[in-house]
Amino acid sequence: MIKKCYLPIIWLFLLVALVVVSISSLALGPAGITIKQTVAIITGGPTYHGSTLFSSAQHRIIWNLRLPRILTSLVAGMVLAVAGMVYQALFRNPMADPYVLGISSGAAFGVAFAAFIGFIGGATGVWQVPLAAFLGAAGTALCIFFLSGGIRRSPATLLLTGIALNFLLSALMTLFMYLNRAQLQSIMQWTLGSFSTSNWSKLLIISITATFSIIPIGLLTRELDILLLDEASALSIGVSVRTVRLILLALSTLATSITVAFCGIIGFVGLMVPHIMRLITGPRHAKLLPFSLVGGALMMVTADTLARTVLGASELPVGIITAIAGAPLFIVLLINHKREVR
Amino acid sequence: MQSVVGSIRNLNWSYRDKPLFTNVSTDFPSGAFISIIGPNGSGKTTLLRHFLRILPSPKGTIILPDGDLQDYQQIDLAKHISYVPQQSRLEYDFTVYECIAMGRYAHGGRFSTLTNDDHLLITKAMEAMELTQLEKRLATELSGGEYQRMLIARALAQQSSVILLDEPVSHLDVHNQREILSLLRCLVEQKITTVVCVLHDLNAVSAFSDLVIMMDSGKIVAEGSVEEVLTKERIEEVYKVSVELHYTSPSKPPLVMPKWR
Repeated sequence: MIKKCYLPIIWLFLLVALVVVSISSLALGPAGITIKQTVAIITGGPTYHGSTLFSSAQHRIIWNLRLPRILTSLVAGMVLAVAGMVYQALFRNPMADPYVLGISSGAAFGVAFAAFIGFIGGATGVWQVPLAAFLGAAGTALCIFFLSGGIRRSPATLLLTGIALNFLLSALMTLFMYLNRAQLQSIMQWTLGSFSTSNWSKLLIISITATFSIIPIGLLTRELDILLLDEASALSIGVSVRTVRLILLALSTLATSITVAFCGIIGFVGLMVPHIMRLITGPRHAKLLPFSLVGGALMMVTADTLARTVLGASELPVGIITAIAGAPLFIVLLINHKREVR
Repeated sequence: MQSVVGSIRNLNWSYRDKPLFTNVSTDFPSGAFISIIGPNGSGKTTLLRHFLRILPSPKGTIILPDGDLQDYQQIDLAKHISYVPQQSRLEYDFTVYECIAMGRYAHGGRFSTLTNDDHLLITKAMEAMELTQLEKRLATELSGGEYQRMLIARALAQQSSVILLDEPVSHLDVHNQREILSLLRCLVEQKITTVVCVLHDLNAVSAFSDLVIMMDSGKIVAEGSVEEVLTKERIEEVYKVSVELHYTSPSKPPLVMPKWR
């Protein structure tokens, strides 16, 4: 844990890093647009009025492709990091995150199933996809509680149930791919995560959901701290444990599902970011939340920039990058947790 | 008539169709050190947990000064009852001060941070539990005795009229047992709070309690002063072990000596 007086400076440093990485990311890519041109395009506004510095195609690439993509990755990173932070408090387990618990898979399964039965696809409205994702994620969250004997069971039971559901949902999605090879590409997109289809309307929906989920979570940071105690202590301190847990679960599941609906399953961000940020801020959620927001955004923008530039013209699914970084950390946490239990 | 901080009337409770409490009724008088004793599985912890409403509602009633326990908002209940759990350890790196400050939750508003009064009460609670030097230490680094004192300080910061403690000294050495029970006794004598404590050590019960409630198989088998409850016949009947009582002086409560061999 770092001294309290340095925290604002570190937070500002992370924010500056986020801005620098985001602007650099705007300029990176096969179109060969320089940083100078990027800044001119952004400051020139969303409408192209002609310029000697950049072409209309370059203006379109920045405003219609890269900017909505980077902003979407930024919001998705915030959402997944905050959701991970909330799940870790709810399950009193540093290994919990939307991916590990199966909530992300539940959302992706909802979309895959809806596509399979023809509820979405073709020219249907933009709201069908998030609705299917939310129903899938909420169904998974309810299953975790139902199968693990309700909200009173131990955090370990809930976590193991989530992991088992994750296996089941992944298997079902593979089955859909097997049965319907025409949709293989689109289902693969959800299972590996990508921001390649981002646009302004999707960004608007993700941003609205993120705002209406993260603000109430921000008002519940004292309760999040107290939920880290045993249930009897939290109740005796005055927290209505069951109600608060259900509200937090609903908010984080909503935000996660809408993100997965448009960006697919991106694992381990929710695991890594709160864990790393907790090393800086300590466990208090009033401090951890703003750090997780900026840290999540920074990690996701960096991961997506790597995903679309590391192979040159073709791009990697961003979920591969986050999994390569996150899975080893998960193993380290698992080993440490086991040691503590002994 | 002495005022009471809580009354239990005809409490009946079953778990998976097995009756665990049958017609339990008792009063917790205000300003007393009350010990609940009995063999393992006699229902002591379960009785305390009913006060927190962590278990499904029982038949019968628990009456607190402002009415039926079931009608209390959780946050209002916290202003009346605080709780020190049996052997809980926090896995996250909160400081001692942050842990004790959690006890002020019920007294703050949704948007309020800790006020000067809150800080003062937290400091007083730390002083009462001799934790001032450990204010900035991480709770995860405390010894068993220090950790237990921190939990009691958190309960004190809550400013409740009664503190329920579930075996607060079971896992501690004799020095820490004596220290913690003496501190609790001081709180009662200074009329800061009422203490209801589940204990196993009958000699500690004898030394510190004003009132003893003895339970066996989900029933209260005896309640009253130390001398009234801790009789040779009753201890042998309830605990199924032979004991001898030693009186070191007529004014002092007896020492309970089990016959080990």
